[in-house]
Amino acid sequence: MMRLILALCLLPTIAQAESATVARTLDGLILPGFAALEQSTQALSDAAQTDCRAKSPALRTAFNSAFDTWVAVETYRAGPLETNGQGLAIAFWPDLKAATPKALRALLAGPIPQGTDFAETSIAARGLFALEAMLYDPAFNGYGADDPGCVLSQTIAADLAQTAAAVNGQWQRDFSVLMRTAGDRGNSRFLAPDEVIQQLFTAALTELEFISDVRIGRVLGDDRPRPNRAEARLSGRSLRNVELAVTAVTKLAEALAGVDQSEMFDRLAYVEFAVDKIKDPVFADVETSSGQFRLAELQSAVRMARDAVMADLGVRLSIGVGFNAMDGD
Amino acid sequence: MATRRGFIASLFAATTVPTLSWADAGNPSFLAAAREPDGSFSLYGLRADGSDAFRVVLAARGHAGAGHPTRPEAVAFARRPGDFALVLDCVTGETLARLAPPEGQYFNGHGTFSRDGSVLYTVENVAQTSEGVIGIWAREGWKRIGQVASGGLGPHEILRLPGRDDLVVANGGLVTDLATEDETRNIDTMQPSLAYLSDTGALLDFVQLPADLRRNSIRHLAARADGLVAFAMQWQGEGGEDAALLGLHQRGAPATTLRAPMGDHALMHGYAGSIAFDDTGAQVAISSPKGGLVQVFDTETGFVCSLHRPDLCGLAVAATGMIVSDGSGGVLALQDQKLTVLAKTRRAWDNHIVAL
Repeated sequence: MMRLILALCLLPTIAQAESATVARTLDGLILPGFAALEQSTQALSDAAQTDCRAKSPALRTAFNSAFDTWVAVETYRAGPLETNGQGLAIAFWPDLKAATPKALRALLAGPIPQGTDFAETSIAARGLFALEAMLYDPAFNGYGADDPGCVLSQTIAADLAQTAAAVNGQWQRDFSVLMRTAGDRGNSRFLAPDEVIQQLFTAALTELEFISDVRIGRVLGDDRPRPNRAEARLSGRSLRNVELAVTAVTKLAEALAGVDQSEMFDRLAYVEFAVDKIKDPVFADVETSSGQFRLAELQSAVRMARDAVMADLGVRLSIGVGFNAMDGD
Repeated sequence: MATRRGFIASLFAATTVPTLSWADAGNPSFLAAAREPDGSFSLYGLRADGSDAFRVVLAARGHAGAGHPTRPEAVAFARRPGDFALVLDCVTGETLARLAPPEGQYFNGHGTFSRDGSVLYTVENVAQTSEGVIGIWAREGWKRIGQVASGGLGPHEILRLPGRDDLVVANGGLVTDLATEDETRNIDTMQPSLAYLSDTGALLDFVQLPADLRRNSIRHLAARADGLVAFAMQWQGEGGEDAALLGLHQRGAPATTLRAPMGDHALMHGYAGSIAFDDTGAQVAISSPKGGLVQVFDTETGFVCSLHRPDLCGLAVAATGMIVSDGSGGVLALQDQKLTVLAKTRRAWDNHIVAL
């Protein structure tokens, strides 16, 4: 009998379990992830200062490293990435109205604003996708070291590093504290620990939906395939971004579940399998019937993974998707 | 032996129904529908401090409520397409009447009382065509006494202008296919509008949006003491990422819109779920449960701030500032660009919170 009472006393309370999950996710994934984003974008800005030319191998390598660290954390949209549109300032995509080339052309035509003035310019001329156009779009990437294009690339990279540093600082100092002190008096962002779990759960599902419906869905198109809509097509990263994003969600699901074996993980692993079957890194072969078939297969693999994550984590964490967000009116 | 005085007193008691007021229902300031943790549904009265004033159990999910101006009676509307609205006694919890739309029509989830409380207006669709109808009901006996056209397709919210008899209706402009719940059938031709009606339903004024906002379905309304109407919109289809979701209209002038800078605006996902003015009328806010935020605007100078909490949607004017409700049981005060917790429960607040 004593042993049973002792065992019951040792059972963690639900709130303790929740805060352990939050700590695991923050310390294992989110905070190191945003720190890496700050670091890699600073390295990118440094590389642009050293050699701004679009074909500089060091600059392109730094660009791709920075993009990798971004895809690893873009799942965590709630919080600092929402503040003042910082998320869009890092990654303005999809660019439905081709605003980025338009904004870049406008900037190249006049004196390029610096520092905080640049941060006031069109959000479409900021961040990874603006820099991608400068480095990889033949319409922009022919500039020499003395041309305005050089200044613009350096300015975009410096602004990106600054935004990433601000986001990382807000995560480390403020938002992680709000997540850890959910339910405390004065914390109006998280009124209870389960709200933090709910937010992370929603983030995992939203990311998978973003992959299937936007990253892949926009290329498959409603009426016909649209290879020109592939994300980061210019830098050849379309498939890589899908793969990295699925990896990021898998890690989040592991942190939330506290295990790494279940049907949910089988489904996520199956997405990797479907990724490996894709032959074109920017989905350009979607206009062939076999390319279209493979991409559609990848899309359905992501959707099945999403359903499995929802079912598994929903039960494991006893939560569901947002009541109003799901079916507003 | 009965005295004469006693006899008169008992006669008086038997024939005069004591008039109850909202104070008898616990002095609520707001009405809000919720889903309980066990999956059942309720309509709550909430006090200004966020505490529960009363709770009435509902048989199905509610959408919004309409409170009688003086009596502690609320009408709870089912979500659209709704086949019932319940008139509830908020003191006893009893159902006083069950209203059903005429054959071939359904309720759209909103309604409002006339200024003196003698008439209830309900927003309805003709099922086949989505043509908008405003149902008119007498409180006396809860009988349907008429209906008028709403002036457009797919009307959603109706509001009485504060201190006046006039009504304003948001015609969303969408055709709903009942079988599939598909609303994309007419987005190429949709034409949302605001219709101003007299208390008898006569059309007083009619406003359509300019061509570039034509695919912005007007769903929800708020009104200020001077007659300024604020309307919240929901963009249909692609291509509206920079379209405003908040409009202002004063009769006699063209409608204007307010929009946050792009980085904040994009977080709304083209969707505003509720709208309210603050107590001074200087500020107006819209909510997006899809983006988990509320955006506050100054009616003169534009965007003020975004405030974030997952799944928030309900928004109403409060004694000071505004009140906000969310899907994870939070009731929060919105004032001075801050959200402050008033109450937290395990129930999920539904789309709207209605000021009494």
